[in-house]
Amino acid sequence: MKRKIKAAYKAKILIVDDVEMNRIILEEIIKDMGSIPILAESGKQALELVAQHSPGLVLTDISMPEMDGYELCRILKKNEETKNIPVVFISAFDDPEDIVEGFSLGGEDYITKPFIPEVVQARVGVQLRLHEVKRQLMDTNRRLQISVSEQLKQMESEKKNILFAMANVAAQNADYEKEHMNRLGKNCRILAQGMQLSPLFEDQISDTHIDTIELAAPLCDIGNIGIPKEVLQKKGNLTKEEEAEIKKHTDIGAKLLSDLRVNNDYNDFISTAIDMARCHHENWNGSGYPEGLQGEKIPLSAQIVSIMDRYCTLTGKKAYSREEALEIMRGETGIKFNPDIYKICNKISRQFC
Amino acid sequence: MSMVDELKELGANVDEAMQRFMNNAALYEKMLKKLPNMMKGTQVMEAIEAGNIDGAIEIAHTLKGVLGNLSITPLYEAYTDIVALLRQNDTEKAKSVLEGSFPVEEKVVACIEKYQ
Repeated sequence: MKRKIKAAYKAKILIVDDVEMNRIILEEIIKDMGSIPILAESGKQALELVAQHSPGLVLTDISMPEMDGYELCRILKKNEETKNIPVVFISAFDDPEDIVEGFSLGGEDYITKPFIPEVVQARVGVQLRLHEVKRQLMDTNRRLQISVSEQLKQMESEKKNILFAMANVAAQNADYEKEHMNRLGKNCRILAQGMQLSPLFEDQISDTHIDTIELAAPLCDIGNIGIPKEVLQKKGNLTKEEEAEIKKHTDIGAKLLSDLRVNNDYNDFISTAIDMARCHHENWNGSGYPEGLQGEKIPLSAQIVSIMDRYCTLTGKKAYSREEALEIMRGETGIKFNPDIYKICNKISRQFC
Repeated sequence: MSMVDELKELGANVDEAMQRFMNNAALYEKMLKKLPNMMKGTQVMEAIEAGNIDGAIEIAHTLKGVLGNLSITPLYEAYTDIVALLRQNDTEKAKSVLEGSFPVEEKVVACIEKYQ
């Protein structure tokens, strides 16, 4: 740390003064402390030299023609790239207001004329050390943020793994085919891509959203984990109570996923998964559950997973051919499904797995 | 007698100035030789008489800085007073101090010009 602070003295110091004599005296004083002086005779030239040299500190006179020291400081402090460069004002100290104004503009310190070399060196040295310590702190902070962000990503990834493990258990409890979840994700992706090409949906489906839909679709029935296995696997007709019990899986799934929100990136995935889990049994004509949503009030991601879940079930466990499945689904269009999505589904059905 | 010795006799704090110039005597002398061209006492007076107090303050303020850094103490002290009086709008007193500084200014300038 000490070595780094000493190295701070080797910084370039920009001296800004319209009076040559003041520049030359300060140049000698700055050289003597081991720093590298750069000289500017106006605020305008100072700005050019700042861009060229990225100085470690700016030492500027207040009273200069055209652009005074205050204006120079104001410009430096406004710019994202130069706002952290310490600015030390040179004041003749004939008006205390000068110094107050300098501090109010973000200036770090001031030195007075006539110059006392030890004072100039001490004040510049303090600012250089402070700047170096601040820089090191910011660096450490940046590294910490990266580390925290990596840990968050790791946590998100682990949570996703747990979710998919739970969804697998729920699928097994419901006696789904082994491949059902995998096919559901892939086919949702294919349908979303097809919809992206249609003028009806192109504004609603981005490439990132397609990835999210594929990832989140297999979680739509995750709420089955809270439904008794014997009800899920019951052959034959369900009683009204059992039917009501099964219908709870949409809310259970949505609640389970809602409890897992972490940060923004993750929330995009979780939000889509929640929509899908809660609304994949809503019907286009409002006859579905849990809320009886109708038409476009049903989230688009839920409409996609709903129609693809039906297709995967018909062509999987129930062993219908693609054409037969689509024929059955045609009869359900306008009742269960959005007719526009069915049309696209029908058009691109050869691509489904 | 050297220029620096003569200036010392006129009241300049040469030792203090040498410290400021990091004991670089050649540089100090070089800067001293620039002073005659920078001395603008009459311009300060003209500005005051024209009612341009801001302009007078600006010139006097610059001179104060230069004279202070060269440690030409009697003139530095005079210009410190002149700037303060002008800021207080006491132009009559400022003029009086300025007039009082002219003979010292002449002597300092003559001394330096002798060695140009």
